[in-house]
Amino acid sequence: MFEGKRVVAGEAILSGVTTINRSGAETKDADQTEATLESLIRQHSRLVYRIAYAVLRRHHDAEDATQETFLRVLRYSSKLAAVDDPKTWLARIAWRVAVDRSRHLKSKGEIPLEDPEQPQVEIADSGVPADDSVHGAQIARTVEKMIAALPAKLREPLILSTIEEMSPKEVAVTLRINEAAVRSRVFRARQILKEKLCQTLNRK
Amino acid sequence: MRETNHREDPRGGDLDRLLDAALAKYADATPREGLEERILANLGTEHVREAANSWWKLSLVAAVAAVAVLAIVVSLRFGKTAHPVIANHVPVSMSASSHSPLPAETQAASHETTVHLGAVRRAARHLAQPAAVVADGPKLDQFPSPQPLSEEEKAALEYVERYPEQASLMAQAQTAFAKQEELEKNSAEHE
Repeated sequence: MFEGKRVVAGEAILSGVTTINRSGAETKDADQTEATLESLIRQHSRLVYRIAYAVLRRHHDAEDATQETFLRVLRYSSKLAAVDDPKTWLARIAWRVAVDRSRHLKSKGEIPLEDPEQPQVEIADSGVPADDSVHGAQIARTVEKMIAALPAKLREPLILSTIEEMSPKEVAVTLRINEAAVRSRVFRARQILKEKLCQTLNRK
Repeated sequence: MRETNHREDPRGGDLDRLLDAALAKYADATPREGLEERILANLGTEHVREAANSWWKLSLVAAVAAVAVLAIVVSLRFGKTAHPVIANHVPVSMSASSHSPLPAETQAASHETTVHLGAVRRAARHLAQPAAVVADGPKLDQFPSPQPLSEEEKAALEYVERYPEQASLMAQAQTAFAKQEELEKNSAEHE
């Protein structure tokens, strides 16, 4: 029921706003493009968001990047029909947008602070002992810093491979490298992370 | 994607598990509720903005085109009068000799330089005034250009045609008179 309402609302936004004079086949093509675009948004917006978040590490930046990704898709909507694998195509655009935005933020000297929207560690009702939860959160932060310190060549495939929806093949297409390279780089990255994590735990 | 080495090293297995958990958290990002709607609304706004931009661009192009057409029309209408008329003006010394209105007898007596120079100057003054008219005339093949006969010449020609015998007699008499005069002049010079 709720999902149905959403679809109707989305269609209304897209079709109601596009009041450019069209006729015949042009109208049909435009409608088809809008339908494809909306379907892409419904299916893959979360994937796009996760890719953006994996790079930018801030929720509002990730959302901005997601919006920008779909704006780019809208600009190139005439090419949508020729796209074989929309998911990978979209992932590639999202990756480029996020990386560009990240570079832009770095060039402006914006240092990412703690994300205010980051959920705090839930101690109660989590079902696991409080010590374990806190410990897990600390390790997650440590790993995050370690990933940031990795060379880009290893970091990029590792980041994308952590996203559930992305297979090694899709990661390879997104980064424009071969699948074997993805596997070997992820393996090396994990080795480095394990070594560093081991050192950190031993110190404690 | 996630390798585990549980059998090789129990410590390594723990590390793998820890790392897997940390990486899963790393990628686990849930957007705020209503992401799709926000994206769709944003795309709709972009549609409107593009449409508005296209109208603005179209009107700008139309205005520029109108100004260009107006400029072309104005330049075509008033451009011709703005250009000065350049006459194909023949130099005075040339035109004076070529269009000399002097009769043939005077030209034949070219050794009388004073008379000739005066005539040339008069002719030059006469020709210099209506320069544009002279320049418009067709270019003639013969040099110097033949001049129309004067009234006296026409009358003489008519007389010769009517009375050829008398005319020839008069011409003989005039020739004999001229020869006699010349002889007298020569003898006077010798003396």
